[in-house]
Amino acid sequence: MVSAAAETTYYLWLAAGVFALLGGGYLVLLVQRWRALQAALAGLQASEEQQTPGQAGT
Amino acid sequence: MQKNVGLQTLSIGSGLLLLAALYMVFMYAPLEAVMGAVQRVFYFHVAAGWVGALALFVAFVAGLLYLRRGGLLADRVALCSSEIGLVFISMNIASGAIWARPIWNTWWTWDPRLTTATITWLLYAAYLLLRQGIEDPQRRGRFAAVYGVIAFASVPLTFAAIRIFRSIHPVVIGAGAPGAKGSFDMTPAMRDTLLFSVFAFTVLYGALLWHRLRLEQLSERVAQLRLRVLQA
Repeated sequence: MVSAAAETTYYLWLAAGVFALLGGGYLVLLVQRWRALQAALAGLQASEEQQTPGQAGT
Repeated sequence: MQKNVGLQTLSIGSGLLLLAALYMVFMYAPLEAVMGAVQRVFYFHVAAGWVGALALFVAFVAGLLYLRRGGLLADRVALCSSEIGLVFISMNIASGAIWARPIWNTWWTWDPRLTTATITWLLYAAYLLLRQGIEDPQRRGRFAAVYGVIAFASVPLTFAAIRIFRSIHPVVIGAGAPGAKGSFDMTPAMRDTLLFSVFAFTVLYGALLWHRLRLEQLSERVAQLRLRVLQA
């Protein structure tokens, strides 16, 4: 038999887990997106630099 | 993008404030006699609800500004703030359901407060999905602004639901509802903990909004550069 105090503590930790999951999950998504955009930006800047000398020669 | 000292300070500050709020919730606030440990959910539940409402209010104001003056910044603020608002409303609803299980003996009931909060969540989830479907930035901004301004009506309705309708949801500010289940009288330590948690969450919102705006700015920069590279 689970005591009332243990049961209420269980729900408190469950709520703490939900806060951590939602907050942490959102932060991870933001960081992943930031990194993906930084990589895309670096790639595009490299492409642009490669295109520029070719255009200057034509 | 360059490192931003102000943003770094705000981010570290919000992290420290959250740790201090956790300390207050678990160590400073007294154990509630009837509900026991699960009552401690209340501090972050209310703080998340407050930030959710604040974020959607900011999106509402940004929507009005966009309709009045136009400009990409207002649309960007509305988008970022709505997204953060949705995350915090999700926290608020989920933590409320977990608190309700031992106190109301059910995870969920279609109480006016829970129903209006769910409507708010659905409205803003739809907002984020629908605006993705519009390509033209001007049309998207106008649509999102009008939608955001109208959808905001659900926020004060959610706040007022427990005061207007018969509800079992406890009322913290003002006179308690007679049919509320899980109400309690706040001690000064409980009130301090609640106010500090609300403050910590508000600072966290500021930091998140700033980060999210920078992310959106970077996203637009990448889109413009991609277009330029493709056109060259």
